[in-house]
Amino acid sequence: MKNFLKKNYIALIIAIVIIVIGYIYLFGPFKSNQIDLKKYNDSLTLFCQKEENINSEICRDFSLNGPFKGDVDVLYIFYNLLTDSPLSYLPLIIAFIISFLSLKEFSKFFNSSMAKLILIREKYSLFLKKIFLSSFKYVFLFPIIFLILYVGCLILGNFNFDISKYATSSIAIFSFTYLSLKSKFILLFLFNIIINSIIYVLLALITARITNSFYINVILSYILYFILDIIGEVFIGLISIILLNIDPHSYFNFLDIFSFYDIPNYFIYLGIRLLVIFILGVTTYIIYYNKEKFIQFIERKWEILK
Amino acid sequence: MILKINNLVKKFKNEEVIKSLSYDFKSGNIYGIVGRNGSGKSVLLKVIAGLYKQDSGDVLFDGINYNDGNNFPKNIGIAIEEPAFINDLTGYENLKLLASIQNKIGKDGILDSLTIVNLVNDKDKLYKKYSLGMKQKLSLAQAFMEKPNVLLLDEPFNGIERVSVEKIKAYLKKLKKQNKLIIITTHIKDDLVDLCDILLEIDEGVLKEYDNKK
Repeated sequence: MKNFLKKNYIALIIAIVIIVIGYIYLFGPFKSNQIDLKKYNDSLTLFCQKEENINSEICRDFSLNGPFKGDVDVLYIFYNLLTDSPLSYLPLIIAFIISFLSLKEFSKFFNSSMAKLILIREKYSLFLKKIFLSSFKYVFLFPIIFLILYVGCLILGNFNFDISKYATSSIAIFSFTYLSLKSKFILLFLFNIIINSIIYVLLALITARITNSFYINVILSYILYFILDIIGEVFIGLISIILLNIDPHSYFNFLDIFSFYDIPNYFIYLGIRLLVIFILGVTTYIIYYNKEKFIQFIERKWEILK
Repeated sequence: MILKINNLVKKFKNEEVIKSLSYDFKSGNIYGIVGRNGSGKSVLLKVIAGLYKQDSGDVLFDGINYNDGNNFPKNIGIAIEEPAFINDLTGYENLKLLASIQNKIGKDGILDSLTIVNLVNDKDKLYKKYSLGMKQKLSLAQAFMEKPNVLLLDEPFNGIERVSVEKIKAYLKKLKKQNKLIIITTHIKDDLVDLCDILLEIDEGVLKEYDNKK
């Protein structure tokens, strides 16, 4: 346990901060907003029961449309957590956090000649597998965080996934394709974060071989991530509009990984990401394939750091 | 055990750093290779250890070639160039990390090797707080700890105080009697004369018997 905490303390601090912020929002501003709405309905009911108010415009509306819909379903709460709370800024920094943590894991072996001492004790392919896996563990960081936050949404929403009764429910946000998944929607959401996180880790692994500085590599992998979005949204998007008269930019939106439910066909969205993973995966393989070049790279790095 | 090197050529950007080198290293001997900086001695050790791949020729351990760009020679210990371990771990933790790869030795094996190099009292210090001599000792300890059949040591006594050097030399002589093969490279011949059975010289990638008239 002590070893686990020592090895993963940065990731744990990040997770705790995000979870605490999320829960403060859920059980603070969001919940009090729901309570205010309920109080308003109660007082309006009393108001409209009085004979002199029955014919007022507000009471006519009230009797025609029913109470203001304060009760909400779980997905609506989850959506509000992602868009209205301070966590709405997360899409911009998730890539940065994952790149930082992955590169930190990697740099342990890049910033020392440990790699050489390991490579006289095990095969290069096994060595790479181990350090890649230690970096890829961070693809599960944000899914775990969101799963914990989702529990808060379940509690606050009384496990309610019934969208039919509530006008202010998630029916206003998600298409029916996603709403029909009900409680399983979270699985798709978490899967989507894992897929995008794999892209961030691969970008980090590629940049780890570009320069000798850990901090420059972190920034560079973040820039690469923006370049990926620009290539997708601007270039491919523009070509598609001109040549095919279709606007695919939402499929190439790598910046906002929460907004996948905006796109009409999830499988096209997923296919594009799998293709990007394949291209980045092949690039990573080519970069790391040669054992001698890898050793020379860490030797050069060590010479600079000395 | 015979380490046979046949017509070994290693180039960097078309420049031959090792030129058609052939030699048979036999176990039960300590070989000393003297050479100035840039003569190719470190590159030779790296090719033998499988860290660099030769452009042509063979490196055979009892007839087996391990240098295929992925594999590594079995049962080998190296201490090459300036040592560099993980800064935020102690000396002992660094060795433990390396020992955990093959699981050949436990805590006692690690402590034994730290005792040989006179570092056992500083085993719990963080590596970043080690002096140059202590770093060199840790590098030797990791090379010794799994009791390999072949030891490749590049400038092993750099920065180490006299008392520890003598202790390490005595240990290397003991290993020789246990039929181990030891190859030591240095640019200072005097480091090796009282230790090595066979003294060689490497210059511009060519290996030959050391000329005692020098």
